[in-house]
Amino acid sequence: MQERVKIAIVGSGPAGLSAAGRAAVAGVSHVLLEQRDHVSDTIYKYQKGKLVMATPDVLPLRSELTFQIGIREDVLATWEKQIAGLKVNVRFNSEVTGISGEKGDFTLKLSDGTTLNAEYVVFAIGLQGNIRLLGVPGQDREWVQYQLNDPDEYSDETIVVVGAGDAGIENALALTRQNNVVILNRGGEFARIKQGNLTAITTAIEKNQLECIYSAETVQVDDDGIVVKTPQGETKVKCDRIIARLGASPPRKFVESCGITFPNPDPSSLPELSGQYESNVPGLYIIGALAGYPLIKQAMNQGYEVIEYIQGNQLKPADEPLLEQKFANIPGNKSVSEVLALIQESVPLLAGLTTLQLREFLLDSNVHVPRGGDVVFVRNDYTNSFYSIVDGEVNIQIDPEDETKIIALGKGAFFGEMGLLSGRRRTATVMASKPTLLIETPRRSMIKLINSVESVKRVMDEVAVGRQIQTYIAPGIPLPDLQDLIRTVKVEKFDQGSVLFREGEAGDCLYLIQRGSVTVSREVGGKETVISYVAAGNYVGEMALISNAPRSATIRAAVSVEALRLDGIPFQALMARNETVRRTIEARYRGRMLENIESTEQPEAGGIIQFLIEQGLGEATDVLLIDEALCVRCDNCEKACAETHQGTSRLNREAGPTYQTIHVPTSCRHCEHPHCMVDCPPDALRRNANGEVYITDSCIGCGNCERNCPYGVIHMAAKPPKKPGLLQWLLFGRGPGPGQAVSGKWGPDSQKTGGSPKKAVKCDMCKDVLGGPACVRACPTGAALRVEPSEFFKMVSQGL
Amino acid sequence: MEILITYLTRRQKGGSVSRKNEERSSETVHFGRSTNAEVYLADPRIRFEHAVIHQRPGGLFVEVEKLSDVRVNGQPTRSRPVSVGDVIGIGPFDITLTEPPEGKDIAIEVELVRPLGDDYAQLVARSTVRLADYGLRRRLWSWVGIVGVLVMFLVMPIVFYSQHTEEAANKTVGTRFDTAWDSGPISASHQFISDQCNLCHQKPFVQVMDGACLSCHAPVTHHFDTSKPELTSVPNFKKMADDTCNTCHREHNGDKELTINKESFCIDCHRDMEKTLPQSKIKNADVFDQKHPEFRPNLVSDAASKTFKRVALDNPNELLENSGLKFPHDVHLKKEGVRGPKGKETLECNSCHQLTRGAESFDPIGMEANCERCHQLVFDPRRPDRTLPHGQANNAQMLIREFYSDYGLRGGINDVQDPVADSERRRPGGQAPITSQRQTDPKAWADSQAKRVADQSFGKTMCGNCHEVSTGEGKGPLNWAVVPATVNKSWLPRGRFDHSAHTDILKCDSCHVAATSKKSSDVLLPKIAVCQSCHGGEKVSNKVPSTCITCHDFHLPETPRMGEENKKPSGREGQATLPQESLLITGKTD
Amino acid sequence: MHQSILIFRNYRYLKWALIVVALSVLLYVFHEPGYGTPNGGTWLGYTLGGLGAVLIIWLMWFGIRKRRYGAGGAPVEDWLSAHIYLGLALIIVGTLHTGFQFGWNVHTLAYVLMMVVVLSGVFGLFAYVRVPELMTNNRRGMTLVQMMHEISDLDVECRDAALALGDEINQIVLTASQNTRIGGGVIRQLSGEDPKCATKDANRAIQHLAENAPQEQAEGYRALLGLLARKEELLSRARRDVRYKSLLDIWLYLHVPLSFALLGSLIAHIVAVFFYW
Repeated sequence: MQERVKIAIVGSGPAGLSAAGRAAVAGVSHVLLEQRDHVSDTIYKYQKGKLVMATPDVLPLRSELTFQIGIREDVLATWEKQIAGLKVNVRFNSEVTGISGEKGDFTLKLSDGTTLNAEYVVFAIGLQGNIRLLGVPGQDREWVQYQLNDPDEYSDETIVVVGAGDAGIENALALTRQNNVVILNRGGEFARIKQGNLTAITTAIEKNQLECIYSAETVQVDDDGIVVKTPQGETKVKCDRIIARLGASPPRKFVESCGITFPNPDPSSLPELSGQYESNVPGLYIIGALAGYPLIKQAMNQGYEVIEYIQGNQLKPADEPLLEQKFANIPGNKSVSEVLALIQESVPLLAGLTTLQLREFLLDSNVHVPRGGDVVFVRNDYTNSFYSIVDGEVNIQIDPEDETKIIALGKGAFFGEMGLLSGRRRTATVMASKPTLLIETPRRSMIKLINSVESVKRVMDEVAVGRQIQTYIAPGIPLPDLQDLIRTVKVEKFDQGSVLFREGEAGDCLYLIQRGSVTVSREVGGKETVISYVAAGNYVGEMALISNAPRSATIRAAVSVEALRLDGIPFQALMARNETVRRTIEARYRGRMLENIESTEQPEAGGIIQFLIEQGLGEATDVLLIDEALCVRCDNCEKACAETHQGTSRLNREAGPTYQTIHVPTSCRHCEHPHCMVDCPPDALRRNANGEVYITDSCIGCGNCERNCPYGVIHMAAKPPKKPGLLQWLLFGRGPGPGQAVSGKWGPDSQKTGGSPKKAVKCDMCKDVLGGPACVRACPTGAALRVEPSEFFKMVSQGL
Repeated sequence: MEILITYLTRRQKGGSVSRKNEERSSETVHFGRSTNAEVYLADPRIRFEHAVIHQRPGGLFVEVEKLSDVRVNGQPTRSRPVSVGDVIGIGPFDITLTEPPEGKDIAIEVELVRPLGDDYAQLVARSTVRLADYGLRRRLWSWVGIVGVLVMFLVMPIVFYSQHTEEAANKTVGTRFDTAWDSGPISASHQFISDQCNLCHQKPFVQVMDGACLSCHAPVTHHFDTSKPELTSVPNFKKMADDTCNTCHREHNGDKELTINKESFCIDCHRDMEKTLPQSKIKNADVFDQKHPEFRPNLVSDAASKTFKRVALDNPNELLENSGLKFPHDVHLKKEGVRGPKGKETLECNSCHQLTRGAESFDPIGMEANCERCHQLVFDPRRPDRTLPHGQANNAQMLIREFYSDYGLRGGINDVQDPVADSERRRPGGQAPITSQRQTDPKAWADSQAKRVADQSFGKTMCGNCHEVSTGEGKGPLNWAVVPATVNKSWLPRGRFDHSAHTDILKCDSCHVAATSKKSSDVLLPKIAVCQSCHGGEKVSNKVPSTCITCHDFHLPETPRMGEENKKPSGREGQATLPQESLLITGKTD
Repeated sequence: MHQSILIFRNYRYLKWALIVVALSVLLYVFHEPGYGTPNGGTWLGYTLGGLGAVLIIWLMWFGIRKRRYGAGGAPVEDWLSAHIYLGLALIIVGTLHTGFQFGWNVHTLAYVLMMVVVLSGVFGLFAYVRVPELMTNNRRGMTLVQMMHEISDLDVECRDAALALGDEINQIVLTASQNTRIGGGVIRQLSGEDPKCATKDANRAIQHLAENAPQEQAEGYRALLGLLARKEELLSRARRDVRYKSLLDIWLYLHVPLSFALLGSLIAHIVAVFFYW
């Protein structure tokens, strides 16, 4: 007969476990479905001895299970003990393949063919998705693994890598350094992989560094190897370890198949939920990462709460005290719910949020109550948080010269959104004009919100466009006057290298670069030469509109670019109407004319710009350059870097391309939109007011940033033990010298007991070091130079 | 025959083996680089045609082409039968004959057992591209450098010093490490102790102390009377008194700086004595050929009382040498000569003035040495062997009287041939009367004779000739007296002048105009201008550079000895103490 | 864009050095030693000596300063610029201190060492100014490691190209690929050449053989010779790179150890002078 429970909990991650634990204690009939043979697989797959963070510390834990910061092994051990103690009804090796039915009577299909009924279903499946398994007998042997944390963990092993995708190849190549690697390829060749990987793997095979078995089907995994079927027949490959990288099926498809809808196609968007985690399918609840709560603590709390909700009990969310704290300094001590209500009715942008989303939003945010005259942020800060005005009024100083030129923003308005878009410095100074109530939200949680709430996205876009035109093109002109211009605006995206418009074309519009940067190039001596570089927050194409002549130059996207296309006619109309606009634009026009003339005089400058753009300086905010005409190859920069950052250098002087004598070493460029920040679980990557992108101690060493950085300037490294003082080395050669590769006694060793785990390291511009970047300060001949590209390009076009 | 060839590729570290099968059919199995060889062995160590396996009645035969390297089961071979299970080593390959499967006549497994290996790794292994990799070690050589130098030039000398102090002298230079410390050549005068550093450098890190110098140079005196508080109270004088020897006497600079020799050293004080020492009578002196005062010789002001007086040469009125002698230089230096014992002879300066052997000055002029040869004190022609004693006026008179008394008594009184009697000539035309008393009173005769001779020799012919004489009752036995003469020995007591250094290039009369001097009161010293015509200050270019100490002493004889600052000055053997004003030497007298 | 270390900060430290030199010279000229010729024993002698000693210590401190990366204050570039100019000034100061009195003693030893150290530094300066650009031009955007990788890749290609040719050729190619080396001893590295470069020999030998090679192999020869030529070119570039690097480094092996020898003799000199005062 078919099994039937009240609550089926899918996924035994922290959320699922906690929910199951609560259900068990509450005596509710339940089942916890886990597709693996062990609980919370994600954490299980963490690298050995890895620290599991318990952020946010302030958030109280509300669960039958305990959890505090500790290493992977301990955390898992406690949980296993506890769920056993609580008599949680777990079912391993049972993957849910489909759900049908409705509230009160759901039917869950399991991978082993059986089904089971449940009144309520709780999704706690996280975002990891289901990693594809080998699907052959023995696939669960402990030496068969489906991911690789640290290739250097293994040495002198024979390792079979299954799967010839990018992941598989990267792993295989990494492993060949210390091991004997065989890679199994289903096909007769490597298809659908990055060019870089393709060349790498083929040369590796030619060089006999690793063996590849083509058109190989895995048959089964024995005690001492893997049996493979090839056209030549079955052979058995003896090995010590199998690493299968067969990809994963993202959860979204599955979730949608259950009838749950997402607000927009953006992959990072999350399903909309009620205040009680109930999805648009009644009786189907979502908690944990999939509900937008990546942090373990939050997830566990939700697990607890969701069970209570299902049982119909009301309870204050666990974050209540936190919010109370945040709201403490709001005048006329209102209760949390009152404040929430106030915010929702006074800030239209946030009106569309569910209370759940709002609470979440506010947890990340900070509440400020500036008095009249207090400065919120200053022009050229690198802060990129977002502000909404709950009450009061702020003045935006749009003109650096003239403080009186201001735009006043009142209750319900928001500002600081430009930071979200361009990732550049603040364009204006903002100060409160009277006692004001502000909510400051960090960039990433704002972006999360934009992606998950359609309404927010819409409003943001509209206002943002107006604001940008106001700031960059028509300072001090009230939005209404700009309406007919704004109406024509289209947001256009360009990939790196693609053309916005060409020299000689008829010009019918101008582009306001909203994100990324572009190069301006002209035909010089028959070939296209870059003459200058235009960063986000500037516009191009106005010349044609003023002179009604064809385009005088070609504009290319230096990196992927987002630009506002302003139609020509209303723009010209605006100029005609408005004196100041015309003057500013014309001044700019003359400037450009000059540039064009200069460019023909010194084409080699263009060459350098071209080259640097190719090196991705287009998206850099600060880059290290070396003038090889002065560099004496002493590597003191590297040593300095290593010494100021726990013995690992963040820069490699010799690597990297050279043009004439300008050398671009591999070192962080502090991109406008740092690729490394994109998915950092503990949000350890930060950018501070001066623009440095740095990594906080909360790094868990997942290596996402390392993978995401296109310039390969982030490494995973463990902090080596303290080495003897400089004099000891100078005089007696004790310990490794400055910047010397550390190994053995002084070397870092995460296996070694007490050895610190590997964490991501990158250039932080020596923000904590006296007198700025050590690499530059340590350069004896002044060859090393840290510059903001736009400035450098100016230098270049002025003839070095 | 049907051939099954299996190429094995084995991963290093005995990992998995992958096999690639190939089927051929041919009469023979060729091994080699040749593309038409059945078994194509792509390796430079393999010959184009390396070996071949034939099918023979006796079975399979391996045959080697040319002088290739082939081993069967490890045994080098040229040709021999092979069978299943044999391993044929061809260059880096191992060829194993295995049991042929159905339908095959021969099955071969080919494996490259000695691959060439990773070229890059080998290239790196062969190459040395950094100096540091070649084994240059900065740290090592730095240590060698500093330690080596310190041992050689610091430790060893100190070690040596610590034990060499006892058996000081008998160390020869070769074994002496502290010679490396020698900052310069020792002066000639100290050369003989140059290998005994500790004679002078008695305490480490303490400057050479006066004791060291005075242990040899005991009698050295100060520059002024340090026993006089009124002097030592003046700062400069105090300093002068306290300064150590090596302030002025520096060693290890060869001879040139053993003694301070800068005019500024003296002039700084002496250029303006009013300022330096108001109560002093010493004249201001500056650079020699510019502001040096005129010489002030020490002259005899009164021969009788033997008093001296310093008179500047530019003060003619007082410039008299009252020696009490009469000596006309011009008479003696006549060109045509003067009468001498053996007839006419011409005198030169050095006929009388003889340089004292080895000394800078002249032998003192004396009656016996210089005058007597011509000016003999014979008073009676009949007895040229009898002369009067010089310098003893009374004795001389007694001698005359006694001579004539005796002569008279011996009857000389009646001797008509008596030339002495002749002296009483009768008037012209008259006959010599023989008076009665001549026969009667010989005493009176003797007295008169003595009187006459005394008057003659004292008054005219002898003493009076050179000396101031006076006559009168009771002046002497025969009423004659000679004023005692005072001969000046040193006209410039403060200065030093080396005649011997000048005589080669100068004649006496270049400086001393004696030929025309009629009186002995003339002072024949040259004026300072004469010296200045050749000598200048130390910085002079066209003259002989001369500093103060060329003529003057710093350590003055009449001052206390070094190290005995408070003792009253005392006479010192070898050096007469000078009275503050002059150096006095008296002639013989009674 | 950047300025050479010499004109750094518009010759600021050159000016300092000139002031030091000018002062020393003036004092020396107008100084009246108590007597005789000037030497280390006069008050000026002691002053110059002291100044010199302080300079030497300070100059040597550079070795530590440039490695104290956390340190605040002036950047290393300032230090180096000052190091260069004040180091040169030391020549004058030191020489005046001697008062031109030399002899076979520790004092003169210290002086000589000082001069050698400074001169080696001058060579270093020359290298630092001259070599970097040469190095960059020679590399054409490749690192030495990349060159060596390419060279060893060429070895493989050469061997493959040779396979179709005669046994002799294969032997030559094999020896070429197994005996070619870059750099080596100090002289070899500094010269930047290898008189008996295996690849060069191979190239010559094969060219010779190619002259009377059978028609059907001509193509193979051409290919092989082409590869060898490229390899030779790469080799010479790699060796030149090694040469330049060694030029940038070699002088330090004189400069640093001798500095310490100098420090030793300086101590000995000072002690000696006051030991036998």
